[in-house]
Amino acid sequence: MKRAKLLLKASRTMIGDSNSIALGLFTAIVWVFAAFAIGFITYCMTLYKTDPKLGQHLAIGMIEFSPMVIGYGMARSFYTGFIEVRKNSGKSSFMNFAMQLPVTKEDVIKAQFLDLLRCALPGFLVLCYTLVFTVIYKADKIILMYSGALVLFFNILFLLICLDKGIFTYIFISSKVREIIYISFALLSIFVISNNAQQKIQNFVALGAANSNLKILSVFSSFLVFLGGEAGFISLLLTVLIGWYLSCHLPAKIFRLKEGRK
Amino acid sequence: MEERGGQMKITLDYSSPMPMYEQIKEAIKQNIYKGYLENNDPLPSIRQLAKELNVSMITTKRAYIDLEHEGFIYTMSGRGTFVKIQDLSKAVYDRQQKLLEECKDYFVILKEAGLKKEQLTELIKEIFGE
Amino acid sequence: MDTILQISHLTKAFNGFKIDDISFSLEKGCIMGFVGENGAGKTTTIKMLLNAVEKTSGEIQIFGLDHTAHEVEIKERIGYVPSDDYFTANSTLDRHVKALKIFYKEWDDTLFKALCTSWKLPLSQKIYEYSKGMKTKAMLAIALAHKPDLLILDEPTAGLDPVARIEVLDILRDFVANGERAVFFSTHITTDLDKIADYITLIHEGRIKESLPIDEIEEKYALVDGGIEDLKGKEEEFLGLRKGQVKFEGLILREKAQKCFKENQIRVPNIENLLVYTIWGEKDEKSQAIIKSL
Repeated sequence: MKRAKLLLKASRTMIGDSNSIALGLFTAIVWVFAAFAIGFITYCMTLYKTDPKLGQHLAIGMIEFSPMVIGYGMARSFYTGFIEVRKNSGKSSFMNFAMQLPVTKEDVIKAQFLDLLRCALPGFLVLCYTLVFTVIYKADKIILMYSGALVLFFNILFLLICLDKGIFTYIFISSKVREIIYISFALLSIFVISNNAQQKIQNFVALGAANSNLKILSVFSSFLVFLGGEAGFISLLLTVLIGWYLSCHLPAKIFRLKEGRK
Repeated sequence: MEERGGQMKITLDYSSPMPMYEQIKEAIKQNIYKGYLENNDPLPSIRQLAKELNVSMITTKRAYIDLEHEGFIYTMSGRGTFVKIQDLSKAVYDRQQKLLEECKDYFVILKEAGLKKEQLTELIKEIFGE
Repeated sequence: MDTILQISHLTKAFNGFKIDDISFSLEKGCIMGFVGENGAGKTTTIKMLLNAVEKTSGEIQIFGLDHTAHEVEIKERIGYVPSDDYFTANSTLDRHVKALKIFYKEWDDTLFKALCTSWKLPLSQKIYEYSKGMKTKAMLAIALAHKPDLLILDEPTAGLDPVARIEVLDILRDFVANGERAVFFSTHITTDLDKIADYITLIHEGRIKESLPIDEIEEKYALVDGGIEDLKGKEEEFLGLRKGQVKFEGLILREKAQKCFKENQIRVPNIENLLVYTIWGEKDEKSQAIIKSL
């Protein structure tokens, strides 16, 4: 663990926020947004007591804002000094760099995960805060749905990145394919924010409640509502644990298995 | 490729049939025969010699090991390697015999090339005196 | 324990290429040159030493310890210089050093700075402004600064000018001078090896063709040249041969050379001869004939 932390520090030193203006700015903006979001949520919480309707509008607005923090925060994890640990690595310059260091491949994997945690932190904090808000103020369905959607978004993105870093250690999928997957997600997050889309989703949900054929939509929206409350905390925790398992534990096990075979 | 260690002179010939370690061995022996190296004179360390001759220290080590085996040098641990001249007369004698043999072979070649006895005796007079 | 590096029956199978049953060892106080053609398996072997590429089977022991079981311990004591640099182009040398030195228990900053000054390596300049030679020197400085006992170098002198080459060779010689450390380096520049290599390991198409100390190599092999007539009937004896219309030159076992040829045709082979003729000896006759007929 100690070595993994050292690796994290090393990678940040080499390609750090401190020596790349763009990256530094990017991280700073993400945190500023996060702080803003949290401040705004607090404001909404106080407002919600006195004027629930206004509070609700503001809350929705704030929640719309959060996907950016989550999505872009985690996108930051791709711009580190780390390049994936691959089966027969030798191409990437970070592996050339790390290969001489007194660390093991498992340390590199752990360091990648720690890096991801660090990048996901602003989004995570905003989410927790949102969930606190929904729980304490017993927010109504719409807000719960939004917060649930945010939780789902975070979970999926986090797990996807962990899967990428973990599984692709062993299964080689063309980088083109992976690029497409990530770009789709980036686009999806923009979609989630756009007002038009949200209107449509609300309409769909309303439709689902009315029309029994579109029951699936109402199930989905109930699921979101569920996630938006206390269950959200648990799901976040689960996500981090599963993510760790996928990106650290499994690959490490596979490494050890391979070594043991001789 | 020459090196003088004190009075000692070593020349390496890259087109010779002899392996480098043998050349170094022979060169040191020649230095002893010719008197450039005297009894108990210090020799450069294996590494120093290797560095100056631009060869591996395995080469110089091998030369020294063989020389020690043949009785031309001795080592004192901690102090270094030194020349040992025992039976110089025998060594000198051996060398002279060897050279005479080579001379004989060469005379045969000279004869076959058509040179006359008189030309050779002139040459000998020139070098050795009347 | 005098063996610093011991490789036994190392095998690595790729698609279409195989490192096949490699064994050799390196003793303390020695410099081993690892030679072979491009693609013969030199870099892969080195990467297996460092556990960056997984071996298929075999054992590698460094400092007497298994290289995977004690990877961290071992790497504390190894200095590595790869053929392609490991730097992040946008970053600077001092950033890399800052990132690196936290991993090592022993880091001699004075030594590092001294090397950088001596080799004129600006610490705060971006790496993309460095020449290849400067990058190699920087990596070497980093490798030396944490006081390793084994230096593993992959083509270290390739990008260097003649002056720098000699400086590096001197450093390598001094590095092993105390008899406790060793150097393992792969290169094509055989003239460097003639100057400092104590052991030569020759690899060709994934197999070790020869691994001997330099004095034994000079005893075992001979380079023979002469007119084409002298070659009659003796071609088969050669390990590798180069025939012209008038002259020939080839590598042969010394004992055979002494039987078949006169003393004045025999010479000591240098490492280039060893490398080139051993490889030519393996080449397919037919395709060579086609190329020659160009």
